[in-house]
Formats: sequence, structure tokens, C-alpha cells
Amino acid sequence: MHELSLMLELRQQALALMALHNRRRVVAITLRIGLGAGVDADALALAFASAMAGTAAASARLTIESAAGRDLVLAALELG
Amino acid sequence: MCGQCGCEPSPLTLQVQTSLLQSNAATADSLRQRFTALGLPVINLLSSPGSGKTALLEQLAAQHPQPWRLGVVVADLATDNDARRLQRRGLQAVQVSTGTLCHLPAALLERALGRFDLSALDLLLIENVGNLVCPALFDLGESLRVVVLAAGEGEDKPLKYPTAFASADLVVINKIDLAAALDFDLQLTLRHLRQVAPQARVLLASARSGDGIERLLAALR
Repeated sequence: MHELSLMLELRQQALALMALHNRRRVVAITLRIGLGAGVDADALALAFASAMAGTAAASARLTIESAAGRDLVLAALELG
Repeated sequence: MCGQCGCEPSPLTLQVQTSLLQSNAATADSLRQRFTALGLPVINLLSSPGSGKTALLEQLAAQHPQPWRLGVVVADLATDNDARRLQRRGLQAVQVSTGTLCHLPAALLERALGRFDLSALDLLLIENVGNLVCPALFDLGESLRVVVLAAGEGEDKPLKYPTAFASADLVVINKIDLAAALDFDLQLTLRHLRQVAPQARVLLASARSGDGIERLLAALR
């Protein structure tokens, strides 16, 4: 599951930014995923839940914006 | 939070815009710098399971010019069968078990390279996990990406796995000696390849008969 690898990277980036800004939890995450990126949005959502479980991002709302091209990008983060 | 009454802070929204492949890309870039400094060509070999990657490597071992020193990193979910096959052919081969990972990330490659003296190699070949989906996304710092497609796999494979083929520098159509027996339509396959991978060179080869291996060696070095 490369979707899980990507979500583990997302977890690391999101939690690092949360700590950097002295926040306690991740409220929402927006990803931009290219249609040509070779990633399945449903698989990504499943992997997201298991990657974030037990962390300060466990209840984060995930939004996936699709785009042309091969983007695999953490677009925006809402911290609480 | 004000630090006194425990109230919730107002939410903070950050526009981040970072790649989810960021840490793999950073490791791959540092590997690429190492390879470039050594003048070492590094080949990342991708295909579905069973298209003959290991057999092609065995032929490369048999046909390469003798002074060349070849190193191979073989990635599989489990077993070291492929590395042992290649060692029997006299290649310096190191197996990486990726466990549940469907691709070889740059960090695992970096760790495996600790088992080579890279300055003593003329060519490093990486046999990625047999899978045309996931490995396509993970840069390994290679100088050349080769995707192998075997006759009989289906002429529309390039259309079904466009990410992998679009990232190829070279496509090898293997088992070409079986094309007639398998009713494999080479022209149709080439047309599909041009559609999704116009950038890729295409070579025909047979790991069984050894045909095309000399041209492949020339393309790799």
C-alpha cells in the first residue's frame, strides 16, 4: 500500500507543523491529488484513518481536492 | 488557548503546499549526488511480477563485458531467492525485504548500499518490487528508469499503468521470442507506448535466448 506510506509522511508533516505552532490538535487536512499521480482517493482515505489513529490528528477532517497532473500535495492544515 | 482558563484557541489555518513525497525525494536527491560524484550509472528496473526482471539480470551477468563490475540490489516483499539466483551468476547481489511495503523507498535503498563498496562498481542495477503501481512514485536517485513489459502481458498494459510507463526512460519488451506463440501484437503495444510514454526508448529482448541483451547493455552504460 503506497497510500499508507504517503499517509505516514502526511502524519509526520502535520504533527511537526502542529508542534511548531504550539497547537494541540489537527482539525482539518486538505490534500491536492493529481489524477495522474497513481493514487486512489478511497484507498488514501482508508490509509488516512489508520495512519492518524491514536495521534493528535486522529479526528482530523480530510478533504481531497483532485487536480490535473501528478500532484501529491499537503495543501492546507487547520490546527486547533 | 490563553493559558489561564483552558479555553480553545481560535483555529489556525496554514497554507502548506508540501509534497507528500518530500522525505523520499530528499533521500533520493542525496543518493543521486553520491552516484553522480562516483560517476556510477544506476538503473531502477520496474515491472509487474513475472515479466522477467531477474532473468534479464542473469543475461546481463552472462553477457556484460568482463571488466565491468555489476552490483544488484533486489527488492521483494519476502525471500532472498532472487539475490541467490544472481549470486550464482557471479553478481554482487544484495536482497532487501520490504515486508509489507509494495515498493522500495529511497531510505531502504540507502541502507542496503551500506553493504556495497560503490566506488568498486561500474554499474548498479536495482530490481524493484514486482509491481507497476507503487514503485513508479518513489524516486531512488537513479540515472535511468527501465520498465519491463513481457510479450503476453497484454498490449494495453501501458494504458492501464500510465504512471509507470510515463516515468520510463527505456521500455524493454521481454520474451519477444514468444510473441508469435502468444499472439502478441507488437505494433499495437508500440502504439500504446507512444501514447503514454513518447519519451521512452523501446528495446526488444529475450532473456531466454539472450537476444537484445547487447543493445540493452549499451543503453544502460
